[in-house]
Amino acid sequence: MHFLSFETYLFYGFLHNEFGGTDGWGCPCSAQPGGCPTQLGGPQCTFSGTDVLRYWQVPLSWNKWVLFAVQLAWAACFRLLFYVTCKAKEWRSR
Amino acid sequence: MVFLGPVDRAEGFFDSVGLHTPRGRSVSDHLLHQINADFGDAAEIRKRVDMLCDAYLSSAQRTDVENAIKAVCASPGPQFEASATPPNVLRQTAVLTQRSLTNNLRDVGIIWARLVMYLCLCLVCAFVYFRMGHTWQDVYSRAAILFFTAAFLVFMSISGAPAFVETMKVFTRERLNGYYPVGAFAAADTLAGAPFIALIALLSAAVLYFISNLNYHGFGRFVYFVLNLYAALLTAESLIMCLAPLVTHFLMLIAIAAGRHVWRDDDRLRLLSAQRPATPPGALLSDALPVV
Repeated sequence: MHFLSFETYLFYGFLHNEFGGTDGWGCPCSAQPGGCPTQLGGPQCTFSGTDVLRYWQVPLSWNKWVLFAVQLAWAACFRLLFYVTCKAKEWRSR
Repeated sequence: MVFLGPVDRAEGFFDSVGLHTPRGRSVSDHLLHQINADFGDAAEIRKRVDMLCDAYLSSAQRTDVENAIKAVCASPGPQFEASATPPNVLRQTAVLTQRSLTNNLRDVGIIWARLVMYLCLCLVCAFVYFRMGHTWQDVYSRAAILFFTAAFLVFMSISGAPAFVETMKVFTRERLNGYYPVGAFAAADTLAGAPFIALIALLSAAVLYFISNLNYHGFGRFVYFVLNLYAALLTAESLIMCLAPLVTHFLMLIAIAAGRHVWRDDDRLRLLSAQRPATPPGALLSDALPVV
């Protein structure tokens, strides 16, 4: 059901775009040796963008441009469906 | 039949049977009033109408009308022939696209009001996540603003529904008259909408991206952001258009389309909230919660 929704691809595309190939993000508390750092000290370790994506359970095998292509395919599908529903209505009213 | 003939001879005909139009009274009102039984004494008016009918049968006006009919029947003139080749589908699409474009440009309610709504929403979102940094809280914030972008902006496509319901009314009437095929209409509507949706995607993304500091690594990412948003808005728009022929009631259309979007967004929300990390003992609460 999750993958039937076109926003899935939009959101994953955004996440890939934001985090993919980046580095230097702060770590979550659970990843740090002594639990959470104090606010003053700041995070002691860093996450790469890939780590962040893995943390959000975003499928890493999908390139962001693949996700974009899927999104475009959805648009085309719905346009076709628009044509079909117009036709269907016309056929019904006959 | 009370009278059949040129309008300017009607008053004279009524005069000839003694029903003079008083001064200062509209002639057509007066004539109708003489033969309309809805507001007067029905029996008396019935009698007057019979009298008028008899007068008409023996009037010169009647012979004139009959002579005119005979003359037309004797020489009917050339027969109208419809063009043997109907217009090309491409040409129909081009004309329809141009009409739609003009309509989109001129009608404030279709694109421009929507653009303002989008920009206001983006401004609000962008200032909620003003200049994000790179700490773990900001990672959460970034995911959150991306989610809100995906959810809100797609959701807002519903604002196109009212205008589209009007478009469908025009289409239904013209289609019943057989002016153009369904394909020409679908293609024209797609072509005419696309540049305006691109404008909305571009301006919305520009507002969001630079205020909230999403542009971490280069300009190419901004371009991708715009393109992805554009594709999503096209999809959302198409989805509403799919529903529009089936759900002709405007409010129901909005309700159903909105319901569909909320249902989908809810799916994504569950994804986000399920992955909130467990807070280890002694941790700062603010460290584990997304900064909103």
